[in-house]
Amino acid sequence: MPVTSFDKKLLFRLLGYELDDKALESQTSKMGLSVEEQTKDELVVELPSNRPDLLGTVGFARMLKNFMHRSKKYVYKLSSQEPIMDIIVGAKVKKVRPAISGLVVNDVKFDDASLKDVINFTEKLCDTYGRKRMKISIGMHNLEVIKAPLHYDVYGDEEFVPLNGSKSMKYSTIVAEHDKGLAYGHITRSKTKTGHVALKDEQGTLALIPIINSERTKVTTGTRNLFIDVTGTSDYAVGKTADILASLFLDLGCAVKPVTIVNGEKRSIVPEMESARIEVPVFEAEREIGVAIGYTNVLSLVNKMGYEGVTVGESARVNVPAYRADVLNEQDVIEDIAIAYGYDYIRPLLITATQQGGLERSTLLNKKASHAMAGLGFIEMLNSFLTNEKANFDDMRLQRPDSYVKVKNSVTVSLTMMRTWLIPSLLKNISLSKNDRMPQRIFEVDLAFNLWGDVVSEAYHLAAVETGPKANFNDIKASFNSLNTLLDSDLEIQAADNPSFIEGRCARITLGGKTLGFMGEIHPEVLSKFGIEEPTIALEIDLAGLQA
Amino acid sequence: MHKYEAAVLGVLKDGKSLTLDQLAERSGLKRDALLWAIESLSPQGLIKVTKAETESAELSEEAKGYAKNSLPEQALLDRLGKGTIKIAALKDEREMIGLQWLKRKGYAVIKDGVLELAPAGAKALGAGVPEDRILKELAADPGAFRKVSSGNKNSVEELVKRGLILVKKTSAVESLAITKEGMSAAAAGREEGDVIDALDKSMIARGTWQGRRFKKYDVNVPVEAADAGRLHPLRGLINEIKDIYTDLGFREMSGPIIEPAFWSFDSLFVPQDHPARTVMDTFYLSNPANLSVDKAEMRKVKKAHEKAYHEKWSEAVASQSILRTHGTSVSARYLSQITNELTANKNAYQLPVKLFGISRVFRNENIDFKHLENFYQMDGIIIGHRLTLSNLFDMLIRVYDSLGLKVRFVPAYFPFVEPGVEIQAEKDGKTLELGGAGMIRREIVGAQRRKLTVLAWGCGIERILLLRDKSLAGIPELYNNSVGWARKRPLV
Repeated sequence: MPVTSFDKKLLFRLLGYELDDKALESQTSKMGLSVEEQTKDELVVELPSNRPDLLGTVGFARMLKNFMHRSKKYVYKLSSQEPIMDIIVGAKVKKVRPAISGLVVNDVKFDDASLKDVINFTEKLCDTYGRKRMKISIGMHNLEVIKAPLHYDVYGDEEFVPLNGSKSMKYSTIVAEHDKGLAYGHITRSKTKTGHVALKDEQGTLALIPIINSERTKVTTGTRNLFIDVTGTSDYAVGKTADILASLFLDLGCAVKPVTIVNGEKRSIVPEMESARIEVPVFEAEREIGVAIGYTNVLSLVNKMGYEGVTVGESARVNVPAYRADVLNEQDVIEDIAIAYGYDYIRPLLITATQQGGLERSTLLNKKASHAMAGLGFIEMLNSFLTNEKANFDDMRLQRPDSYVKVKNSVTVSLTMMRTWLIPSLLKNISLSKNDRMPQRIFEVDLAFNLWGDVVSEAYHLAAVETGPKANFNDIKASFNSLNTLLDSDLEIQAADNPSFIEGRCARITLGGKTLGFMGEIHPEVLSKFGIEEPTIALEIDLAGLQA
Repeated sequence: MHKYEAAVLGVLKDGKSLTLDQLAERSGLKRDALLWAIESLSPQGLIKVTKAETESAELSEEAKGYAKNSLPEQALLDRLGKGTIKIAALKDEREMIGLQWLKRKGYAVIKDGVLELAPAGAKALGAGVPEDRILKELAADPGAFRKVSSGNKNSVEELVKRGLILVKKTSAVESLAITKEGMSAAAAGREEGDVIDALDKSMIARGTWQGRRFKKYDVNVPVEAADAGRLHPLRGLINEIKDIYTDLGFREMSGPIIEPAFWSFDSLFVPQDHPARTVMDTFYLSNPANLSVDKAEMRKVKKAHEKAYHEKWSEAVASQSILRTHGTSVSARYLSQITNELTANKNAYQLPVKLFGISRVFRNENIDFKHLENFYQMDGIIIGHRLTLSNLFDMLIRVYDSLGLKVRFVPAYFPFVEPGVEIQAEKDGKTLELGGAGMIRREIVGAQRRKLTVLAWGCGIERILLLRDKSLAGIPELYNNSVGWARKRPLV
């Protein structure tokens, strides 16, 4: 989940009053956000990934103000409905990055702190909610130098001066060499081999999307009027982002005006600033949370969370502010009501209906097998299920089979497959125990993974290993005999060959003719591979087969 | 004579003097048997034991602190090297100690309330104060006492007087040889008629022990611990947790580790572009690359996702096979099955149904001493009519109470629950995040959404073990076992 730091000075300016550290932290956690750190100047907060509107100080201040009943601003509307300019969407961009929105902001009064905060906010939003600009990217421009209409399309290799650059560069050069090009050039490259997505006005390029803006339209603390573009792959997310930005500038006291997106014949005015209406039956909220709330209280609680609300019949009807991207239905509103009510005040309530508890059959057998092994003097080990071909097959003198469960993308190079049996894991434990007292007896009861055709089998195995100067076949057979009695099973053994074991000192373990495992003396070549110095004996049984 | 004693004398009777190791090897006796025999033979004058003394230094807590940084006089000397110091500026206790020793050693002098370097101090500035150097060497290797102390007798004495080190003398057996008396005892090989060495069956049966003396054991002779068979400490905790849940009337559930992404993510309303699904976080499989999912389940989930997230939902993405990232995938399977059965027959279950699972889960981590690719989670799910958040809190309090932890709840976001809860505990002044919980989203409950409410939680468990056994350094230690490690773990 994203972690963001808020500028406390700016926060208090927006709130209109100051809070001491303790009060700020306590209010923040009451709203359901966890404070990671607080300094004199900063409040670092972990945010839920579904609240892009909170990624900047302005959005956080808005929430805090409502929560503390210091504001009654629930509805966000544009300053005028008259679109300022047209953005004409070309045909070619629809397959590459189809969604675009925009807005115009007048009467901007940036100082260093608010400009920095807004820029941090857009970057954080593009990084998290925008999936590193793949889904959403945002560009802020100085409106006064723009000559409308704007054109949004896929273009050939044109050139312009990129932001903070001094000379004109070709699109292709920016993609190949500029650090932003290297970071974000791949996003459109995967959908158009040679073209470049750009936003242009009558005078040339405003932005190479989603990579970098132009130096010409750069925003500074002196900029009074802004144009902001939002582009991406999802109409919904792009639309919500424009709504969030519009709300943000409205809170900063600016005038926010729409633009027209021209898509062939279709003309739409954005940002939409649509406010969804949801009815929450009060009894339903009470029933889900498990507390009595009442009709009057419920409105105060939804207000606290930033919703406008009225009671209609037995329900609270709320307007979801346009900047909320996460409210899908009444359940989301009920959660907000619960947060406003305070989790600390919800009294725990016992479920009185009873049910007979019980364990899985496999658990019962595993427990029995483990207790038997512990009683025989073996120590239980717990090992990773992931391994590699060398340890699981090669070092055990086994041919690699055609099919077994393979991992595609492990960041740890030694983890490439799921283990097919347990003895190699236990041999590794022994190899880590060279300095420990002999003899050593260990066991494991856990899963082994096999692939029969395209059917995955996850089966519990029991494996045991004993090492020491005097370990021999009869010792493991003695343990096996005892286990057979304790588990009340009818396992049988026959002489067998298995490359992991010494020839003539290995037996197959069967049940009704079906092979369930092996036991014997581990082959010295295997011992050398694992760096084990003493004779070692082992057994492994498929417990699932025992239960079947 | 006891057979161990006879064995020792038997080996020594050729008159050669042996070390303890040689004697152990030739007699074939275990260490504790051998030591017992020596302790018994030596006072009888049958063997002669030559002991060698070794010395080692033990550092006081104060000295350990100094060894990490430096002795107070060294610290002050270093400061003097950069310029004189006003005495009035020296305040804390450590500085005062430093001042006294600098003066006593003649490294510095006070003139007009100012501390200045003396010629000896200037010399020491280059080489370092010898006591400081010795302390550091001893801290690095306490066994090197003899080497370190030779030629530094005065310094060592000073450190001892200052209470910074304690010199310990231990004596160990250097060699063993037989005596004349031993020779004849070995030759006679007699058993003393009036002293019983080992009680045996016939003595008990015939009562021949009566009127005789039992040879005494020295109870202080060191004996190695017996090797115990046992369960792994984490298994012990897992069994304990399973008992807690069954006591609370929960039935155990279990499910596959190798899953289509569908059960770990899509069925739980995690959007297909969620960061947790990237290859950096989740293990994907190349064989089998895909696993099939029931078509009807797919249809339900597709509809819910596309409505909520306004994005195309892909069956191919949901079919990719992965190692489950949380135990909630098991809850999702049970929830789906139970709601389907309830739809077919509303009396299929007596509600509420309470289920729990302990699941090993996987994250694509780079393994080091702090990170591991797998860990355990305990998941719970309660399916019933009119269940509430207050019911959820109550159940979680009961579970954690049984585990010895007092919990509280704060709001949190997880895609599959609404309201969402984080379970926290205070321990040693720190807030522990124990896990997530909430009421399963109606979109996931599906056709039964108007009738059923579903409470769910998923929590890591290894942390609980780390709280109980403070000697554990971290979670990876639990999965990287040596025999010696396992032998030393208490049952917690």
